[in-house]
Amino acid sequence: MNNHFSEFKTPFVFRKRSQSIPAQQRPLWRVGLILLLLKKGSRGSKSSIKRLHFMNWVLFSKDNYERVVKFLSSPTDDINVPIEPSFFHAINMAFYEGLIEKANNNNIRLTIKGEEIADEIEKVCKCYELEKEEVSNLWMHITENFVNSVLSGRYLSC
Amino acid sequence: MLMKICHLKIILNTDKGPYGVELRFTEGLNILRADNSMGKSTCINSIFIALGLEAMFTTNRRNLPLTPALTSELYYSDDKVASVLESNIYLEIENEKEKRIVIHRTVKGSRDTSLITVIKGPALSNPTCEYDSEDYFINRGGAAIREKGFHTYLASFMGWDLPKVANYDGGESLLYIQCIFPYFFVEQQRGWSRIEPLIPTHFRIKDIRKRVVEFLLNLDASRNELKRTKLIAEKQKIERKWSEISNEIESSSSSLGAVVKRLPKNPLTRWDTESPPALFFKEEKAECFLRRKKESLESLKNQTIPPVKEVADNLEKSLNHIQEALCKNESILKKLINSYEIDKNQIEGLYQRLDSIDIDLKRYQDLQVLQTLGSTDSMFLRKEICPTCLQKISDNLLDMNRDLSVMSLEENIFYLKQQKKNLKGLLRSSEASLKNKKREIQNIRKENQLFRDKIRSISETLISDNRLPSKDMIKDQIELEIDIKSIERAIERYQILVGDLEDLTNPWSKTLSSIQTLPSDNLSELDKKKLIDQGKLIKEQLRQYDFMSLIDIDSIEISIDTYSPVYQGFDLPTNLSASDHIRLIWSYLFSLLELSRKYEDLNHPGFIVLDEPRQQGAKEVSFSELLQRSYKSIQFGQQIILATSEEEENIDVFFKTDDRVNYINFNDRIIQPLKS
Repeated sequence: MNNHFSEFKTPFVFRKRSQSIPAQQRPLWRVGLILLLLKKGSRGSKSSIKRLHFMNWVLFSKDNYERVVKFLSSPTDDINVPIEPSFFHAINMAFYEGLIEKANNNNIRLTIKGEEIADEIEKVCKCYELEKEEVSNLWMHITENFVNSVLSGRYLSC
Repeated sequence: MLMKICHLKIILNTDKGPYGVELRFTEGLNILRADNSMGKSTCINSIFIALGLEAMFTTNRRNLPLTPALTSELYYSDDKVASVLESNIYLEIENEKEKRIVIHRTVKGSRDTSLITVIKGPALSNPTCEYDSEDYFINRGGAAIREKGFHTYLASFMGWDLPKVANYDGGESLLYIQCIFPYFFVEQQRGWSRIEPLIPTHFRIKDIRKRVVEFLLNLDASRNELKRTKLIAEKQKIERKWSEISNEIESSSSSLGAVVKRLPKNPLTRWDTESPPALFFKEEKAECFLRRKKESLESLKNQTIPPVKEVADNLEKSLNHIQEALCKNESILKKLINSYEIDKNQIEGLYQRLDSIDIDLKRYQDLQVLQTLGSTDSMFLRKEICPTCLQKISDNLLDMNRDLSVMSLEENIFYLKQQKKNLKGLLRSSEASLKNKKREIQNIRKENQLFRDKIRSISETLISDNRLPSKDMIKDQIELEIDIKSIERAIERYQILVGDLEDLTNPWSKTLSSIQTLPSDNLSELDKKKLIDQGKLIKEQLRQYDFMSLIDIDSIEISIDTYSPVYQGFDLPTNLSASDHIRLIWSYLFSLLELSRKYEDLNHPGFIVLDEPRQQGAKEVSFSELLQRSYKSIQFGQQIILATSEEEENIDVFFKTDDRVNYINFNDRIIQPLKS
């Protein structure tokens, strides 16, 4: 290639164009969401990772949210929640940032630092506006038992 | 000078006999001096109560701001008290036309306290004559508007044409006299608390201070503001009408399968006579289309209608021809409908994509907020460092190995906004094309309907008796006639509507240019000059009175936005010394009075009443400077009334003896027993 450009006397550099990614894939945003899910979407700021993963999936898209809302009023469809590795990365990061800690029974909860950030997020109205609304509508229905039975397919047979 | 206070008389009927006082006031400086609690405030308050101005101080209609001497008990010596049974105030005032009246109000007694009797002559200064009198009322709704309201009478006596101003209830009220008087009437208790006069707010007038100053200084600004509001309403009205008419033109022409080209959606200031809007039927100008149809009709009419047997062959050919055309149309229609549905779905998809971009943008905004939160400052993620291994990571949960380079927040937000912009552009053109397809579909359906009718009519003709005239041709003629009529009607209607649009261009351009000619801040050059001069008068006085709180007196001026005095563009500081606070008040009030000497069109009544201008706590104020300044008022026919408890010996001998000063001194109580 250099032969072709040797006439130009200036070196050419080729760089890959940077990509656009959805905001949801930014670590900071996802960690913020996890804090929000614990603070506003869990009793006593405590929850199992399984349940958090479920709620993370619910808030992922409008589609998912509407499916769950429909399911709660008339459970006919199966709900399949695929595993999302990014979520677990984010949980790790939140843990090593000192924002969440292990509680008993495979649960996690907010640390003091985590609470501090979650409080600030709560105060700013325009932050996570949509997610705050969706969480407050659904969180009480999404209990540990609910999550366990839906994921194992046992919900429909109840 | 619009008003002068001439004479005050207070009569109290007590259980110890009648008590009272009579005071005469002149042009120029009047000093009412007495020690504290000797009855000065009773006298000053009586003046504004006689004028029905108690709403300046209280919203409670029953509790007039009266000293006890007027309502219950009078201390006629240090320890002796008389019960007040009845109290009456008489106030003689004079207007610009040198007409004098006496206002009589009963504060306590059998007469209604809301009643004010106006004696139409100088009954106090010249009691020997008989004068007519008339009753007015105060403190009842409409006292300012209805004829028998005292304030209506007072305003016209003073030559005031009070303006209508906007209130907070969305309507208009009159600029009440009670809001204006605080600018030249300062009573002792509350009048000195703020630099600018304390105006009652219970009348709910918007921007009350500005309205009062605009009235007093007769600024063009208020008139311009009114004009502007009216013009804007007019502009909106024209816009609505324009949009109504152009929508009607569009909808009525599209129902005929016609299209209007060059239809201006928004009002124009000038009608484009070279390329005005034009009506088109299938790419043919309406007039040409009509002419063509008329020609066909003519040629049809000129033909004699032949019997069926003669035209049977041709009719058969026509029938086949039309059946083919119908078939062709049907398949085109099918394809078109298909394509329409596809486009529709595509557009819906675009909307969904737009939605998700919006959600993503919102989430990016969340990220921006997160970065400003103080509690996240110490996070590793904020510095793009992985908290688990403390190495640099890419800001991407899907690719922690940094194989791909990711846009920064700002780049991504910009990218999303660009996408949104492009999508919106795409949507616009897609929706326009969808609209066209819809119209196309409608046209083809209409055409197919015509074809079917024609097929039916030819078939009927072919099976009818050979000897009868061809029904089909008769039908053609009739249908063509009907068609022509409806097209003519449509063209006529179209022309009327377009004419209506054209008629709007004149008022539109007039309204726009009227709005343009209004000064952007509503103030005319004369208005600005008045405010500058007012500022100069204030600065002059501050220097004269030895104002000390602000070093650069020259930086004080009147703001053109609020008409209030400002210092270097800011509101005056509130931590001025008590004396400087007083000096500012004097300067402000006097600036209004003195400005009316220079400009003849001002509405200032030409007098100022100050109760206790020196005030406790303002020890070193240059009271004599104030007296000096006030003294000059006589040269301009203006009046200043100062009530003060200043020690006799502290008042300069000049003011006590000069015959142009009305020095009223009381060494004892002002209210004394009256000789019956």
